Amino acid sequence: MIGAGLVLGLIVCATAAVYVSAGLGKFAAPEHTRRAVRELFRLDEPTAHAAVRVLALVELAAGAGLLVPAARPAAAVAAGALGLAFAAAGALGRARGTATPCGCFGRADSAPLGLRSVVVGLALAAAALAVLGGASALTRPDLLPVGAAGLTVLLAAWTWRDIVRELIRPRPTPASDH
Amino acid sequence: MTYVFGFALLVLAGAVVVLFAMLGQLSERSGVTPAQGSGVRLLEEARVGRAPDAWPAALAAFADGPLRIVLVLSTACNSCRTVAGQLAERTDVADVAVVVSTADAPVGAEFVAANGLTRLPHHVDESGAWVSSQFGISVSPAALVFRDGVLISALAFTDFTALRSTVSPTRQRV
Repeated sequence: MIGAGLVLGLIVCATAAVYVSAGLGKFAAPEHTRRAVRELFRLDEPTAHAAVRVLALVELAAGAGLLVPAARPAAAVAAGALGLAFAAAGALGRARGTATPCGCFGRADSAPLGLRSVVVGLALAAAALAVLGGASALTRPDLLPVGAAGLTVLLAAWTWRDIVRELIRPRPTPASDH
Repeated sequence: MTYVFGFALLVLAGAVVVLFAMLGQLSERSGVTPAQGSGVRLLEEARVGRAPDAWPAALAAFADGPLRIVLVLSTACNSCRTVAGQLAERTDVADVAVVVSTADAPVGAEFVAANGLTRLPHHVDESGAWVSSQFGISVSPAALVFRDGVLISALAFTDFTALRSTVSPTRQRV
């Protein structure tokens, strides 16, 4: 049972990390997702702008809510709905053959909404369902925010690995006079 | 107490996410995108379909004629130096002009001279005023494509060869 609790804890932390990162990425760099949303749903600029802001808020709330016992059931429902919505957007993107980057996590060069989005969306929905069904198996719920924080940082480092690589790349030192 | 500590850590982690996203924005706007290769991207914010109110004297010849490309380079951007180096070695640049965006005109002039851009029509655009006010562009390296003096497309790029294959004198559509 400890094993099941650990696995479920990891699922909660990972799902929370994904939604927190996705929400914050959209707040920091909303234009990429706004472009994708405008193209996919044929929205005008103000509507797309508002939609992305609301989406970012909901993602953030769902991610944070998964870590709080009282809010976990509602947050799991929201996370599942977001996952299904992402999968649906992916299916629509694939059907329309969209090439506009989805703007996921605030990246300008993210993959367009398509098959990958469907898979990820369904995985997030499945994770939310697991959380909803197995919340009582969590052994140390007080450690979930710590785990989610760690996974959020790892996800950020992975998402922006090109920038991390550039930042840690050794610079050539100038030649010194002898 | 553990919850408070945990959420404090989560807030810090969130700050890391925002920091990286903002670095990504900065990287995109300055053209420093090491892992993106030589992709060419449409700049949707550009005021396509309009002609500038006035052309700098050095670029007056670009006010009409078939496909013309004005490259926007910045003195503060590493990718722009790379592109400038590529331009110096190319022979297919008869339809290309360069606008150097800089905070300081002498720095811009030095950039032109140091990167062998003097053989091309060029203009030093202090504070990027002409490019941003006329076309709504604040990204570099960028390529402004004109036909008969009217902006028909604006592209962000990091490799001139890739840009050239997208915009060619033999192609009348971009």
